[in-house]
Amino acid sequence: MKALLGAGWEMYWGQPPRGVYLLKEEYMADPADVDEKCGEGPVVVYVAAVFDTLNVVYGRVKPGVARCPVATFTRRFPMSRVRHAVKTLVEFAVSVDRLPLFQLNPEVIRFAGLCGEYPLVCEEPHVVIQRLAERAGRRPAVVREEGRGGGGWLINELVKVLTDLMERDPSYVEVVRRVVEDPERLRECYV
Amino acid sequence: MYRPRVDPCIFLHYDPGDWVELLGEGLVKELLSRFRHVAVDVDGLVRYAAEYPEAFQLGLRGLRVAGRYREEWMLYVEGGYVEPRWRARWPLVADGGVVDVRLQVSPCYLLTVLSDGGRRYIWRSRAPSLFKWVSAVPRSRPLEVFRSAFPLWLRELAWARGYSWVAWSRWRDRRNRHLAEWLYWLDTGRMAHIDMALGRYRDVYEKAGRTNHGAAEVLYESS
Repeated sequence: MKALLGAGWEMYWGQPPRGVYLLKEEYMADPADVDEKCGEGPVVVYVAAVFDTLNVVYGRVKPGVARCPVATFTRRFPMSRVRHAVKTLVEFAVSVDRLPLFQLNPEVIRFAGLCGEYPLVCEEPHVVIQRLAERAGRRPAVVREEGRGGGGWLINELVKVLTDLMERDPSYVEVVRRVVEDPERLRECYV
Repeated sequence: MYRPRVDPCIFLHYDPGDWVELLGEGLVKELLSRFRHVAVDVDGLVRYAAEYPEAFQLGLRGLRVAGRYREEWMLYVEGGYVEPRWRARWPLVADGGVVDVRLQVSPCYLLTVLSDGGRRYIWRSRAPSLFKWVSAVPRSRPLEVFRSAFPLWLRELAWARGYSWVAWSRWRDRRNRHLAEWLYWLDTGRMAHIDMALGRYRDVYEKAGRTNHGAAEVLYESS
């Protein structure tokens, strides 16, 4: 873990400090669900960037786990380095835990001034869709047809979200299969 | 410990001069040190607050505030909550007009962090008219979003008849005081009650000055 986070991080056994969580609440697991699985020995991990007035905490489980061992990695940062600190947490969540950007709490990204680097998180959904439509409109038709492989970050994010949904709820496999078979049916839902 | 001479609504009042005057230089300096990563001066700070009012609250954690507005500040700093009530005291216009728009939430409530369903429900239950114009409460650049979303006839009503007329008009058995605050904010980017307290909203100040209380400060009190 320390090697992944870089130098300066300290570990202790115990709950993280109070603060703002990097993930949206709906994407954090309930402590009661985790407690049931603790017999086999998983460890709940939190990563906390500590500032003078605020702590930013990354963890995939809501605080309050009673039976699992809890490990917290912390590092103190000056307030002037909040951008660097939050970016470290985001990179950890995205590259190590492979979470989609949609799960991040946009307010933390906005507070840290990282909207330039993660516009997908900050912008309102309709603005993102509008920009994508504009970009798709600008692209020449030939590229649009061939461009599936080069869809870039958005396709990757969508794949992550769908994989995540299918892992949680197998019934989504059927939903995705139907959409792939007949994409027009999806359009009907929105018109 | 800081003693601002204004409530947290100042963060939706986009006037850097008023920030310095009402928050005090000490508090502004503290805010600049907390937001150094996104703003270099007061103008930048005001711009940042206008852009992301909810994220702005994160940087205020642990701020210690005293004075007349202490409770409101504590509620906002520690709980991310600003009351949805009206604040501006408009001079009486006894016309008995009716504006059929249900918007019984002050624009100040935009500062509230929508962390739970109860806070979201206040928007839906007290300001359902708003959701004819926007699909969700915007969490970035609310002034720009609402300026383009509000129907023109409503804004023209305020330009033609005045904000006070709107404030004293009725929606069912209630006055449209909140709506008048919205229309003033959309036109000026400033909070009506703060402008009144500073004596900048001239006609309101002069008329209300003839009441029993002469001092301008009396106009601006938390009800």
